Amino acid sequence: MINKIYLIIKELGGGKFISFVVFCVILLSVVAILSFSILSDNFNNYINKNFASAIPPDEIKVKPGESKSIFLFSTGSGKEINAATIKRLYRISGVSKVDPVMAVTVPSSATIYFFSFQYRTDLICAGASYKFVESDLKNKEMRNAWAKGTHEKGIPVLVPKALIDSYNNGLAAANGLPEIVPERLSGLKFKLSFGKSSVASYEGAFDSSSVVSGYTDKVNITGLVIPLKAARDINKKFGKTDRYMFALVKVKDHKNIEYVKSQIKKMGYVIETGESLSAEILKLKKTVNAFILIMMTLVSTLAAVTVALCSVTAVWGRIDYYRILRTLGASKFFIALTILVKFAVMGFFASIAGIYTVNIMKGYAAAAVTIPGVKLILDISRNYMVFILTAGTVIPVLSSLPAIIRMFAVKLDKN
Amino acid sequence: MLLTVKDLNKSYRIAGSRINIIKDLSMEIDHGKIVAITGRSGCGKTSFLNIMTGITKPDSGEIRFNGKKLHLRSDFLMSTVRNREIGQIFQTFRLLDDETVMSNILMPARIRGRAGRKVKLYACDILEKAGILEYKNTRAGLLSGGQKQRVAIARAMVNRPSLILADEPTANLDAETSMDIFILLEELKKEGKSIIIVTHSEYMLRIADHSYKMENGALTELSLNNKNSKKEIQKRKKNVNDKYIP
Repeated sequence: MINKIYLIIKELGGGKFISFVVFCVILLSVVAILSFSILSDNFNNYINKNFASAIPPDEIKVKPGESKSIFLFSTGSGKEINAATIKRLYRISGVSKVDPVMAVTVPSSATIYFFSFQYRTDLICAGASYKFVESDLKNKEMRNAWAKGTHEKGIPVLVPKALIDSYNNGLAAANGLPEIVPERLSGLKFKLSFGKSSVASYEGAFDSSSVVSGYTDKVNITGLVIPLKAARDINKKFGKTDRYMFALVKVKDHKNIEYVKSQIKKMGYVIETGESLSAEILKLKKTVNAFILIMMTLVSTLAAVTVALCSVTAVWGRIDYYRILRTLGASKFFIALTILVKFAVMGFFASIAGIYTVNIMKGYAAAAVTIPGVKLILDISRNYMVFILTAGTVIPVLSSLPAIIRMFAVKLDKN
Repeated sequence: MLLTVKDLNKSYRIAGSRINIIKDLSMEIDHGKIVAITGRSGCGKTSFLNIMTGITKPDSGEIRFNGKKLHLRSDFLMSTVRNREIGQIFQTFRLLDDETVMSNILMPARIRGRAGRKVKLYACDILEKAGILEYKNTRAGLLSGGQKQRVAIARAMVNRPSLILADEPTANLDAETSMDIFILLEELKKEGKSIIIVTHSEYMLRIADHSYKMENGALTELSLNNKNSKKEIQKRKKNVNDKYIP
């Protein structure tokens, strides 16, 4: 085995110039693809943060049916969204996902302590699933807390962007108070009271400490978002049935959207779609994302083609060596294996180098690029890194196959 | 019988027409025998050797090596036979010029997966017999033609094969060096190795146990008087021993 590994290592050291070219091609491609990916993430983030009302074109917001009362106030006779509704929504053909946002149907209030300042306000709470708000949760600790439904400092909460905006643009401006910086909210602690507000008080009302886990633009209420599990537990504690404020229904593709919309309308619910809100913005977003995807595909294809051409040169340049190995008893399989391992190893290390280069460049980019109102997201997710490493390893291997096949077919055994 | 070839056929498509390069060729070689084959360039000698090693597939016919059918084996198994049972020597040496002599010799052992201490000692032993032990750490590309061919012979020996195939091993060498190579090959014969040598050397054709001429894809046995050659070998051997053996 050691001898076979020796031959594979020997192959790695062969054709150094071509290997260097392949390494550089993969490294540059990884840098380009990661840069495009970061650009895409930031663009989408910018659109999502600044055009919060925009619903993706493949999603439908389902809200409870409107009350038909002739009076100013009604007692909630509109068709409510409950667990059965969610099940029915799932069953509609063409629906791929349903993200319900649960209403906490007990009086709630929050008390904020800031130095000697104490501020108490009634508010509403909504429960959202981990999957739905995962991208808004500030860090791993908060993500874990949300998944569990509780944090060591209390109930984790997300503050809706709409609430921050209404405070900053309304309350703060009008009263000469300082504005809230959304990115700095995470970690802020305050007290939440359930079953008790300035209007009503239930038996069994309780206080709970809570901690801000970030902010979200997915649930635009003037209240707080808490984990779905916590919301369900609170409702249960006060004997309330689960009721949802709205549900976001994701359809499999655009073709299904009209059918799904009509089915939901037939069920007696109110729907809202992205197209009606900001069609131009969504169109722009779609175009830019498509352009970025094309660029990423183009870079990947060019890298694959370049590696394929380099592998032809590399294999042809070492044909005498392979012929000698062959006459000495190396099988075609073993020769192919040494070449494939060489390209896989080169691809893997070039991808690592590419990721490392992007990580270095991130610091400079963050310092150099400052766009007012835009917070650059320069993190590369672990999953995306694994994807890049896998692709960076597999693409050179696949690209070298034609050269190997060609060599076996016409060159290797010709004397 | 070490090797039996029966009704071997091989044709190539050249410029649109099919040329039969080997036609119903049959031969046998026993342990410790030398078979020399001569013939005009392009008559199919090298193709015949390549079929023996499994590098080229025959169109039809049967090859038995130690009683086992070779022509039916997969590339992987045939490569194993080529690595362990057949040593090859070429006119152009086919050495890795950037590698040392020792590294070249150990290459078949590495492919086999056995290049340990014992094999290295055996390689030194072969190098000593070939008279080039002092060059074991020298790059092969720096050696003379004769020295390179000795390295190639040592490499062919390292996995202790029972059959050596030599394709015009002295074609690029001067007469005196060629004689040294022939003597080395005869030493291998004494160790029980069988040798099939493709050569134009009348001298080699004389000392071989069986000599054939390849013509029109078939082998015709030659009948040569080898008395004078044997005398010459004895004389040459003495010179070689004086030169290389301490």
